[in-house]
Amino acid sequence: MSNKLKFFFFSFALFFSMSSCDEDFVKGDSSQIEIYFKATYNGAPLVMNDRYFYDGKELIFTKLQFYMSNLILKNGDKEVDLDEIELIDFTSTNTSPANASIGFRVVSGAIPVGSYDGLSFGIGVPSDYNSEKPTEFSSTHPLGQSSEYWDAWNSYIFSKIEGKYDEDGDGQDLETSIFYHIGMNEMFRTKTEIDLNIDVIKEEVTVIHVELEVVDIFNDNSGMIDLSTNGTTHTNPNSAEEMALSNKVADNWVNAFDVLQ
Amino acid sequence: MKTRTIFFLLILFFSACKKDPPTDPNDLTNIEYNPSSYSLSIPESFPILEIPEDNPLTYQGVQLGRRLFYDPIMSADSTMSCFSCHDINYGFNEPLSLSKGIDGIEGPRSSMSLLNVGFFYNGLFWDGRSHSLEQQALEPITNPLELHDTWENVIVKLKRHENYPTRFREAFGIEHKNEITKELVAKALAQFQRIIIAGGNSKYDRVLRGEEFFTDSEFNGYDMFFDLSPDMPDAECAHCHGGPLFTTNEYVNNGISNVNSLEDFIDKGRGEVTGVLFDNGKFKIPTLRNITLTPPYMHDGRFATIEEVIHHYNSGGHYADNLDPLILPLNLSEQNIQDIIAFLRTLEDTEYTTNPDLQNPFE
Ligand code: HEC
Ligand code: HEC
Repeated sequence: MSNKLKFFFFSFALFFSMSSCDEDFVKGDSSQIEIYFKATYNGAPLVMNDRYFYDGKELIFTKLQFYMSNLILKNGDKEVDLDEIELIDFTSTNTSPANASIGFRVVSGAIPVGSYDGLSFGIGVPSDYNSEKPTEFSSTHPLGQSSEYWDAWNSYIFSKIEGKYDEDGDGQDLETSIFYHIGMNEMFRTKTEIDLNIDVIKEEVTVIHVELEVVDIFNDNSGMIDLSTNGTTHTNPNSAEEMALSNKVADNWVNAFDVLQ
Repeated sequence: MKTRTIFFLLILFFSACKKDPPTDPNDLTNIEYNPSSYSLSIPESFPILEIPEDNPLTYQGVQLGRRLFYDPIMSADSTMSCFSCHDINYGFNEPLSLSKGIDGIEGPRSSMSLLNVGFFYNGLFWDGRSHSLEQQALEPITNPLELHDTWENVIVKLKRHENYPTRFREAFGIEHKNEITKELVAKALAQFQRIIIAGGNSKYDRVLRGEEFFTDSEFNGYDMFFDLSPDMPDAECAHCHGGPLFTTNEYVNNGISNVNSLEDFIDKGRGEVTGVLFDNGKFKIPTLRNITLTPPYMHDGRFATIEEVIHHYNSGGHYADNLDPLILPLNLSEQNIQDIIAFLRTLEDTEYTTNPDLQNPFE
């Protein structure tokens, strides 16, 4: 079966499974839930192309995005699937302080009322999807863009941070490029948050905010990443140095997320 | 005797006509409307061709679009049509730095290749101001620097024409000549442009399918283009010119313009459309299939040769706050540059020129 056919059958199956889920919800009570992903820099909403300080030197972000997959709300061992795959693209949402403080809205669906204590999502494209290519999907599907795929890895680019940095610290040009392109199955990470206290109440919209503190992607227990020496990685599997940096950045992405209630 | 029979037949003929209710000479309903779907072969590695529901590809629509594309009836002085600036022999591009319209005046930009244009879903033109081929095709006719006509005039010419009304009937089922509109002209042109598919049989594609091998030089170019091995310099090209069509369809500043500030770009490109200062000087990333056959290069045709293009990228480009981070000094040697060019040559594929449906129907 060709991949396109596979995708077709898969969508069909998905459609059926979704419609049967809906039926369950109709039986019990269900309510709307909305999840907003927000990016901040040192606590303030991160605005693309605005200048920030890192290590005393100015920097801007020109791209910030990641694939969010298998978003699940949990209650003990009960799980509710909220979203399978989404390209959370702050580049398009965070264009002004006002827009950035709203963030990227991910889900607005109905789930069973009750209390939930956990939330998890993947940072990256799960391996089954990652064996596909953008050409298998329509241009409006999150996996349908050739810009998000790196042929040399046979993988989607799980996360991208791109920007520029005033390496010489003269306060003028941002002469040094930074880019962290993370991908391939081994770079897939899962964020799991437990001990939450989320009540989904009948006839009320439940809103959850997930915040990404971008400084934490560069700054972990081992200290700050030096942008002049470690400012770029393509996650080249033939380069041990790039793989080490990418692994570190992938781990840092996990820790940079925080679920606010 | 002979004349008499003819006369008699003539009378019969006329009286037969008279018996029918008086018909409108502009009525087209006596022409059969039975469009057949157009079958298109798309290379295996290409994206899905997304066709608007209200403009399905039909044989009749494509053939009508093809005639319009090549017919000078589309310009005010009947000298030019789309093909004048989008020549099949130049990758549906033209070998000029800046396009010239019917009045011989240069426009501000270089023409663009129409190869695989049906797959570009993130906006058309260098600045992305048009959202679809159906919308785009409305522009060149009235643009004073292009075909410099009016739609009223073009529609009158088409209605009066001896066979266009029939062709519009066959393609779109209109019942009356008055139903010929600019929107239908645009739909037909869009259908024709969707079949301009090239690639799938370039050396690059054959190598990917395991049917052929790169030379060493081509392979090294390929390696640098896609940043494969840490032993060769990264040329970073595939970040922007990636995927089967060698473009990600994004808008970026690739550093060709030397400006002091973001306000100073002579052509603001994407910024003109979005109104965002940071988008000034950003342009659509073009496809690189057949690129070695279609100099000059860039939106203003500033580089005459492919060597100049790679030297530009090697330099890291001109600084601007929105210079893309992936444009940076590459440290390529002269040999590296030749290798990248050798790789780009493997993207040449002129098989499409032999597709009769793409050729000029008036030749
Ligand atoms: C006088 C030369 C000229 C003529 C005639 C002309 N074009 Fe173009 N075409 C251009 C130029 C120049 C551009 C880029 C313009 C810009 O970006 O503002 C362009 C861009 C395009 C694009 C966008 C391609 C892309 O990848 O975004 C399409 C499609 C197109 N033309 C189709 C047509 C059609 C259809 C006709 C006939 C109705 C036509 N052109 C007539 C010069 C011309
Ligand atoms: C950051 C994105 C980016 C990177 C990296 C990049 N390009 Fe481009 N390229 C562009 C854009 C944008 C344009 C059009 C710019 C314009 O006309 O103003 C372009 C234009 C071109 C053109 C001219 C196309 C035409 O139709 O006129 C060629 C050839 C080209 N690039 C080759 C390359 C090669 C080879 C590399 C690697 C050495 C490369 N590019 C790297 C974005 C990029």
